[in-house]
Amino acid sequence: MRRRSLRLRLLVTFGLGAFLLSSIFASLTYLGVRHVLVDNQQQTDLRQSYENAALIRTTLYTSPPELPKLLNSIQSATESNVLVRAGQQWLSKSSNAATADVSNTILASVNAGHATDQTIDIDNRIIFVVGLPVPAVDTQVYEVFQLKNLEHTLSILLLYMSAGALLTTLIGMGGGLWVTRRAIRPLLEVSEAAALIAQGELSTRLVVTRADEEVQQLTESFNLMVSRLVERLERDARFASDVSHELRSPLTTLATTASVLQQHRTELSPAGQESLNLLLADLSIFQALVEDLLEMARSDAGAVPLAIETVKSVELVRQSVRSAARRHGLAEPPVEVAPGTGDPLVQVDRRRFERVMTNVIDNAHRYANGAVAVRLGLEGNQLAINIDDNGSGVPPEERVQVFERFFRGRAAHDRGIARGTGLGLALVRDHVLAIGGTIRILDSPEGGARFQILLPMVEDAHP
Amino acid sequence: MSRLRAVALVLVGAVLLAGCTLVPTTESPSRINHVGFELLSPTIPGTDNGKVVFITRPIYIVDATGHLSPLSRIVPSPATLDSILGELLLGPTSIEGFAGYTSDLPKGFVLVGATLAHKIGVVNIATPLTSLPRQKQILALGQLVLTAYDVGATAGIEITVAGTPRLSLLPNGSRKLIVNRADFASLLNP
Amino acid sequence: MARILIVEDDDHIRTALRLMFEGEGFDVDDAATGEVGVALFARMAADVAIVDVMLPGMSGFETCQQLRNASDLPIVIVSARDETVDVVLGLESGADDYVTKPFVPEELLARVKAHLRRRPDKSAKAFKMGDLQVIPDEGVVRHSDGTELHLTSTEFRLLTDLASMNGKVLSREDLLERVWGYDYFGDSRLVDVHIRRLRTKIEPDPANPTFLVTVRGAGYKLVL
Repeated sequence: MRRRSLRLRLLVTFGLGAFLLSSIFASLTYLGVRHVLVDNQQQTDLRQSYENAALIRTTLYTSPPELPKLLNSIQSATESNVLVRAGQQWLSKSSNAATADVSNTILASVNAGHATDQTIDIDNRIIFVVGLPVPAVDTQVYEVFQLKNLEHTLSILLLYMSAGALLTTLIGMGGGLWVTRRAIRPLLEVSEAAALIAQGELSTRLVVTRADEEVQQLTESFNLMVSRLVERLERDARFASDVSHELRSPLTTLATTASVLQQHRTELSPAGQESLNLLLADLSIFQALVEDLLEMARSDAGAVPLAIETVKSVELVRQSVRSAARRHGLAEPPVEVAPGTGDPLVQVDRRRFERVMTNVIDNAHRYANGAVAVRLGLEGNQLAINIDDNGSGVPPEERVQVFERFFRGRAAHDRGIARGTGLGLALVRDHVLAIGGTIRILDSPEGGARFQILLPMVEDAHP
Repeated sequence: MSRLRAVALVLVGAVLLAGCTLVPTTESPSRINHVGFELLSPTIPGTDNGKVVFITRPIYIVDATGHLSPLSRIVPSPATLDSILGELLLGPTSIEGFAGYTSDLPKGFVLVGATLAHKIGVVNIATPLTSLPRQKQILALGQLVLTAYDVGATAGIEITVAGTPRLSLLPNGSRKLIVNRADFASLLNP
Repeated sequence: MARILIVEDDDHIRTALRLMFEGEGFDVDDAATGEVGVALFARMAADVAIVDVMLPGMSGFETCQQLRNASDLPIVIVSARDETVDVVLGLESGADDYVTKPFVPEELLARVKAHLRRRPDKSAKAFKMGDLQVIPDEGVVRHSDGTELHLTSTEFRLLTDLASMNGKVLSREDLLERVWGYDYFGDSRLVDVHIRRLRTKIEPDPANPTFLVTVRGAGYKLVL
């Protein structure tokens, strides 16, 4: 179903409605007025024709030779043409009269003794023909009235009515436009506000202007909804943060006492030593998880602002890789820079970038026999940092999901040991996005997975 | 609102507007029920059963061959010399003119009056016929005589100019005071 | 045998730390409050101190300051928070290092040992910096008018290491390794704050440094 613009539909409805109503009104008015005007004209003309016929009758009775003069004087006085017929012949007519104006049907009717009239259109002239039998003087009198004036009046009336209808339609559309805008604007405002909020501008609220009751209600409800949502979000963020925070002290104790036990390992029985091993192993997972959770919570709440620095990418990557490898006691993968890459500058938060590299390399270690190499290159106008391994790769359908929190993919299920916290890659994605980059998974030349981080490069303003 | 409905409504509106023609005409004539002035009365109101009936009488015109020929005219009955001569003076209609008929009585010919007494018509004119060329004079006279004959001037007519009797020219060259039909019979179209 | 002062109000953590360091052969003085810690130090000066920021009564920062005023010993601040402002405050108070809870005990141990190993490089040559005279074998910085500038051993080491580079740039990681002895668990903020503190001490206009110069994207260098 095609989506229509509400605004357009309202506008069209208003326009059509106005058009229709004004057309009907204009038509009815016009027809009504025309009826009256035509009727009046006819009555007047008929009366005139009676008078003239009576005059003609008298003239024919008293002084027939005067007839032509009489007819011409009638014509000059009233602009209507008069014709007099006796038997089957025209007796006389006024000088401008045309016998063709009187149709045979009228002649026949008048001949039969009926007073007759008809409005006819002859060659685009509208005429009103009246035929009167005057048996007393054995003649028929025909008078032809030009309706030019009436036509003229009616055409002016029609023009005005049409103009009125058009104007009304335009006003209607204008009204529609105004109403639409008033009605639609609140909707647009809500949608804009919602978009802003979705982007993260959580302080956005609708402003209450001199609005109608319904709009006011909408505004208030919307604002309330947003406030509640924000509260919830903040509560949730705080919760994760609070929980992790509370865990710090006990965790520190656990870790430290475990270290002490480790120092006195030799004093323990074999069972004790084995238990200690398990304790230490899970403790480190626990610690890592709490650390990750904490970082995640802080990142979610936007608590830690980014400390962006402009650094040379090659050195940054080398150092991060070295730190990452040594921190976990892993083999350090070689850093290869593709020819033509140069040493572009990037803007990153160092600590977060190091975290990213650490987590990706750690991930490669856990699920893919370690990272084979870290390769730098250019992709379009961005810097590409590729961490390649030669493991079994990431199946295409999982390549987006792996960055979800606590996602366990196929690789995780395949290997029972060395499980991570589940947050590593989620943190990677969050941090990469925060510094304006993107991350995706491709295939590495060695047949495993390639984790590619794309970062925008910056112009060197102070070379 | 679907497209179709919108279009339909626009059409309706347009048709409504278009239906507003100017003066409405009718296919066939209609009868008038009430006619004033008692026009349909068989006699003239205000008179003692007065009425007028029209009859047809001939006037004599010069045809294409130069002879006198009759054409019919309608005059109220009883036909007076006045009315028929009035018709004569109007000359042929344009249709008759196309057919070759003319009248030798000039356009400006003024008939002051015509009376009938003892079967002789006295035709009083303003200017004498002698102002016309000889042949036309005779034909014009002939027109008058023959036309007058058919309305009762069977004994002939006498021409007076401003009341004074004048001698009229005959086809044979002689002059007479009272001229009659027989004198001009030669001019008739056989 | 090295002596360590541990100031930590959480009993469990303090006990565990004591056990750990004793197990490594340290002599341990432990205190639950800053006041007791300072008193203990006055009685017998330790070689290195670990101070928790969150203390009842006198704060960790204050404790740190008092210890610093009394001695040159390396101080490691421990905190539950990781905010940069706390790091800065801690280092401003005189600490040499900053560790967040929960920490990996082995790491803390390694750091403490690294701080103990570190000593100023007495073999370096003396040099002039504006109207300051830096004398490594005496471990002092002298004004032209004879007054001495007090630098911590960390700050001193930082200065002499940069000076030995003859104007070449050292990255933060390099500095962490050379001055602090870390190669893998350094926090470059340590370097930044120390550089800033150094600048306030030796630069005529700390806001526009002429000697300790930042090289964007690379690190720091000393211009003489």
